[in-house]
Amino acid sequence: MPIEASMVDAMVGTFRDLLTGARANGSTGPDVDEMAAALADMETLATQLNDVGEYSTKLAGGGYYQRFTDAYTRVMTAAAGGGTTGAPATIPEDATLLAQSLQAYESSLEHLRTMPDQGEAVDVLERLLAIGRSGVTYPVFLRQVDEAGLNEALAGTITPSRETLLKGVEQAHSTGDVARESEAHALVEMRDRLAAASPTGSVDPFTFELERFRVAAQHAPAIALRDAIVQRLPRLLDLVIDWLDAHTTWASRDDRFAGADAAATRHRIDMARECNPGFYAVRAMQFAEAFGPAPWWTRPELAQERTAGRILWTDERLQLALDAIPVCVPLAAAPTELVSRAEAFGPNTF
Amino acid sequence: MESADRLADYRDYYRSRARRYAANPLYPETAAAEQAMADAVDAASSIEDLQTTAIELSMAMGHALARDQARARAAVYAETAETIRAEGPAEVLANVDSTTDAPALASMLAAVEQRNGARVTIDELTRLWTSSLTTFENVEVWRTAQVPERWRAELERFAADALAAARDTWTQVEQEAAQHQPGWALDPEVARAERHRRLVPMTDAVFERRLAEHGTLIRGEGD
Repeated sequence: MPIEASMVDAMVGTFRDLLTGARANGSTGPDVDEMAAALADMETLATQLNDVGEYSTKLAGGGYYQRFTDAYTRVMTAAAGGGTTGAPATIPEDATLLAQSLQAYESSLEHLRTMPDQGEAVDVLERLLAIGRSGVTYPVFLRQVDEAGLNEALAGTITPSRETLLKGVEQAHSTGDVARESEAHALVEMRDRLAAASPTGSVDPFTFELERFRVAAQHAPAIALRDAIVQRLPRLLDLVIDWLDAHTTWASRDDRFAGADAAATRHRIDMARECNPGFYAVRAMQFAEAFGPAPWWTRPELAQERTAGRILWTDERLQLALDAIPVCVPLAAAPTELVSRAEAFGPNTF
Repeated sequence: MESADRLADYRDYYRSRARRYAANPLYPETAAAEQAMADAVDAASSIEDLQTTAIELSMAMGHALARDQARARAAVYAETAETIRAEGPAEVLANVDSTTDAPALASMLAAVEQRNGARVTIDELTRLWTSSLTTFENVEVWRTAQVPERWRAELERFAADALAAARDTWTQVEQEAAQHQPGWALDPEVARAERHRRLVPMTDAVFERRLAEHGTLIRGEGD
């Protein structure tokens, strides 16, 4: 079954529009024919495949986009020279160049105004158009736009503003993720450094993207380490707490052990009582082997995760678990004194 | 507008551009090419005079920018041990001089980016072996924990089910990979490469044990 028409429309519709636009502007010749042939091949491919993912992969990886875009670039270059494809390029009059530029920016502005969260780009384009409409010549327009940093600012719609980066810091801080917060801080510092070094205060988008890659690479190991630790800490803690609680009189009324019927619930309680110490021993060994010999409960990530509300056990419950660790050994039953302390908490409480 | 005024406006514009590039140490060649253009505009006696050299100088600026950006990328990728990504800028530097006009330069840059992006996509599929780490740890718990014998059969069922699910997931990874590169298979040497290894926060001994388990438990090596 061919790819659904609506999906094909979404994936090649832009190319249809570009071809239609080139023809409407009067462009003709072998490069326009090449655009049409590349588009026809994209449409044919859609009838030969039945998986959208495969279609997308083949369009991007099979050179279809590239073939079309190359031809389109040649058509546009020729059109900018005032002739049809194949005609030698000439440098048009400044007034024409300025008018073409302003028209293109106006079209972009119109489009951006229909899109959400494009305030920054809209502002840049409005400033750029104001310069263009102020009666200046084309080279003066180019210089003023350049000196105002508007070229970078326009490309800067892919370069996050300082405010956007600061929001990233706040977001990371609010989640208690110190590794990502450190990365977010580094991005702000990097942007500030680039802006300070720029004569106009604007940030070169290429430099920013490259530095962002460097910052991400530098912080990725710390983020991966933190993620790995915080994923494992609750399992260790839960094994000990569940083991004690499985010995209480209220265990069968606690949701952690609830099964489809009473027998299933009993089965879960028995498994926690009899197996959790053995499970805990293996997991504690895995943790130490992977992350070093420091006891897992001394890791700062435990306190951070509790502060962030992702580990909800109270201080009393945590202390009870820590007191139980020395006796949570394979095949052991929980000591009466510890079970009595667990008993006091009751079912479905932290 | 008088031709002399127009030329003066272009002089100011190109001087402004040259100053901007000179201020960014990432663009040494571009700054020199921009300065050459600014000097040519300074020296031109008329717009017509300028037009005879502008296209050639514009192309030199395009080449210089492509080279500066490729060198900057190469430096960052070398620093971060991103050897696959580094193939992109190396390819740009090898080909940039042979492009003779702006469309050819743009086409070459786009083609390199597309090819390199595809290589990076395939390379990063390697990282997906680590999605089985939790399964390996769980299986180790169920199979090796000291527990009463009566639980052994049930725990082994847990382990077998988890491994079957992980094998299914890996089969999907291989199918996805085959769309990009027919016959793709995980290469443990690639998994050990620094760009991938640094994202697996475990000691070398544990890393090697888990990587070997991926071969025996997931990919069926030694069956």
